[in-house]
Amino acid sequence: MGQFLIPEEEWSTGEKKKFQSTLWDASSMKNTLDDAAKTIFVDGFKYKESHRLIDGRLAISLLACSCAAFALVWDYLNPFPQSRPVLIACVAAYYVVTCVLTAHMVWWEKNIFMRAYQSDPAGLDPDSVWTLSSNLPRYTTDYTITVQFKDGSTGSLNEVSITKPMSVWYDGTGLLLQSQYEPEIRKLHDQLISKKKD
Amino acid sequence: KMLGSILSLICFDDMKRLNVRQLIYQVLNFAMVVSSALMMWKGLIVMTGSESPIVVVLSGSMEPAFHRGDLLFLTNFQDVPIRVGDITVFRIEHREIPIVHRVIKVHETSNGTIKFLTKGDNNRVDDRGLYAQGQYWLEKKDVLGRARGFVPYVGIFTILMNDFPQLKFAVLGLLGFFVLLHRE
Repeated sequence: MGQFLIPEEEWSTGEKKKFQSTLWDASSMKNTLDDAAKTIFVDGFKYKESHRLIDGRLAISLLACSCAAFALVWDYLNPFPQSRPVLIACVAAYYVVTCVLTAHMVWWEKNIFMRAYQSDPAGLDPDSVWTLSSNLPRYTTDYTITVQFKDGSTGSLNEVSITKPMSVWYDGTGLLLQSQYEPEIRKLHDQLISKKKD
Repeated sequence: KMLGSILSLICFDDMKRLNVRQLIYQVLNFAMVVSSALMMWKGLIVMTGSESPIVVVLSGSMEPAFHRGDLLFLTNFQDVPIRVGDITVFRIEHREIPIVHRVIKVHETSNGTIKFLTKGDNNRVDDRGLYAQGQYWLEKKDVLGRARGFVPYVGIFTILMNDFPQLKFAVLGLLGFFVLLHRE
């Protein structure tokens, strides 16, 4: 039990944190790997997670849906010929908002699935930022995870990544193997910590 | 037990791990799919000027031109006058279901007001028997649009879904289920 950051009961047998994925579903296995890496950083290393990126996406989606809902309600209250200008405005607005959403996902979020803040123990320097992103191209099983570290005091940006076929980390039932995965993630983390000290 | 294995096939495993934000995202994702469909439909309504730009032919009264189950595309531009030979889709007052028939007689005043009579190609008599009590002519306000193009047979799906509401419920339910419960 002593060698892992996340207690074994939480990883494999606990109710909530079971890292079980659906065996032949690539997106499920990728999501499981992402979730596990996130857990290691947030619960294991105890960094504070930032929800800015996903909140941005939620807000834009909500805006788009409210345009659609507004159009629906207005059209119901004022039948078609009268509601024409409002409908045109809503459809145009919806189109613009969905373009903004796509832009947000492509340029702002990229493949990032977690951002966390590590506060300085001395309380003097601004927080350092850990960013995790991952990539799984279509029709391959090679999963790439990239850890990026931005030092709070110097502002320097460093990143390391590792690419492996997903089968290395999973057992036959689709359960993520803590003994294989957690040490790899910790190695990436420690590499960046030691780079910072240089 | 089989249900359990089917459910686990539908990626329930991922769903157990979702936090609040991700759950909200799943719901919003579903809402976005619905909204996109809605906005495309409203966009089509605005572009064609017709309340219902796509209709399904329900009866055989327009054979051999249109058969039951054909999908019709309508436009309703007010500045294009209605002429004999146009295939119009119109609604009789107090009747829900629109009718697809051909215009056979038109009376027009100098300022553009129109009264017209319709008849189905495959019917023996004109539509006066279908019009409301005391109504002998149709006017522009009754028209949903004029047929501008069609796709054969595709509408049979809609007819089936209307005749068997359980089918509609099942199809839409399953689609919604999959979108809501699948993480991207």
